Amino acid sequence: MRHSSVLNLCLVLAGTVWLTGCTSVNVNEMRLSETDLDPTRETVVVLGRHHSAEFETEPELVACIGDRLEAGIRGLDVLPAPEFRDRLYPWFEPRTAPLQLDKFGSILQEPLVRDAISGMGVRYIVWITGATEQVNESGSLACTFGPGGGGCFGFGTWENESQYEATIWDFNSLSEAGRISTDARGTSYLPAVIIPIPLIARVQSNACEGMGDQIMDFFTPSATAAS
Amino acid sequence: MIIDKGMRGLKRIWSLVALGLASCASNYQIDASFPAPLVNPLPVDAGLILGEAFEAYAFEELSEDRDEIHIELGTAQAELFRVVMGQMFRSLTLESPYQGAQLLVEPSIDDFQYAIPRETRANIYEVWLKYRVQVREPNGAVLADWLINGYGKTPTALLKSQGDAIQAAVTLALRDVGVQFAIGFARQPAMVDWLQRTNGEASE
Repeated sequence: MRHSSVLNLCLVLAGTVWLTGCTSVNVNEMRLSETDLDPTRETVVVLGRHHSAEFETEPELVACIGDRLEAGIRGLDVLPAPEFRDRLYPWFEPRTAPLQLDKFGSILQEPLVRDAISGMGVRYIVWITGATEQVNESGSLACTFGPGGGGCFGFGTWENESQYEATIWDFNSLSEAGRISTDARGTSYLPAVIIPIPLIARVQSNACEGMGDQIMDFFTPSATAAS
Repeated sequence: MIIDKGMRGLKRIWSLVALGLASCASNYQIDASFPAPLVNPLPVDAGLILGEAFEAYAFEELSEDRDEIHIELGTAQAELFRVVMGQMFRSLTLESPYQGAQLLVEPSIDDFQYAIPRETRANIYEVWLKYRVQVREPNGAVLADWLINGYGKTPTALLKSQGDAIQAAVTLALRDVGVQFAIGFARQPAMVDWLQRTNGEASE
């Protein structure tokens, strides 16, 4: 395992502080095999895990990573997760999606499923697990409204934490190609003197950027180096 | 663009304001489409019995502790069974008297439950569906009486209106019912026996 990048996105300029709060992102990569994705004829699908009532990887994070890969790897057409799930219904629903490679192998025993995945040109499946949660909050904010107007006064702050892990499966060799994990933490502020002014830490967005870039590098090391 | 969870605090304030302004009664029509399942059709000619009550089913919240809510899901649940069964069998007849059908399938909804974020303190809307699926031979003999529970949840409750969230949760719950029906039908012990018998007779 190597620490490929540690990004500290705390804002220095006072003007920028008015737009966002502070976020730090840490990305780790573990490569288990070499990848040889040919973007001209193969594709990738990014899927979120939804296998239990308590467990939900945000679809917007999954879509964000897919968009980032598509934008960063020339010629790559990332298959949208909803389209993949519809075309493979009922095999990749929350109740049936394979959690382990051996279960994936047993689903592929069904020729219809194997042919459908081959037909879509899917070479790698990227499973995203994790979530962004609010871990801390403090302060107080009071708002009053009346016939003559209104306003808010106070100060609030809260901390968000993102923890995601991407597990990359190779459809051709039916093996795990690697894992990439991301931790991001950020503090948001909400000062209010008549009007509340939110200073939002974009924790999930930064986690997406960190993880998306690392997955891009995982598939095509030269693409990220060039950019 | 991703909106971080920090934004949800603000959205919560606006949601509460909107909630105060909104009427207590809510009507939702579930409008959903479903993909045909990727399964090999069984060598069986089937009939699907969808009664008027099933196609017009609507859930009414009767509890005085909750807001009035009316969810029409009859059209969506009928569509689910039509699409799923249309792919599962060699042929599917929808019109009575189900001419040529070797077995008849009649689904009915037993229970509908939902939970909203205000009640569970989780940022998700949840829906539970319970169906009874009776499988009969044309002479009326019951082959299987099967209960299927479906579950669906919306992942981003506060990024959607309540209507959108319930629509999404019901659609996911219906998809979950379709999953179990499509994969589990031929694995039901009674159906395994019946399929072996029927296919055996057909090959003799």
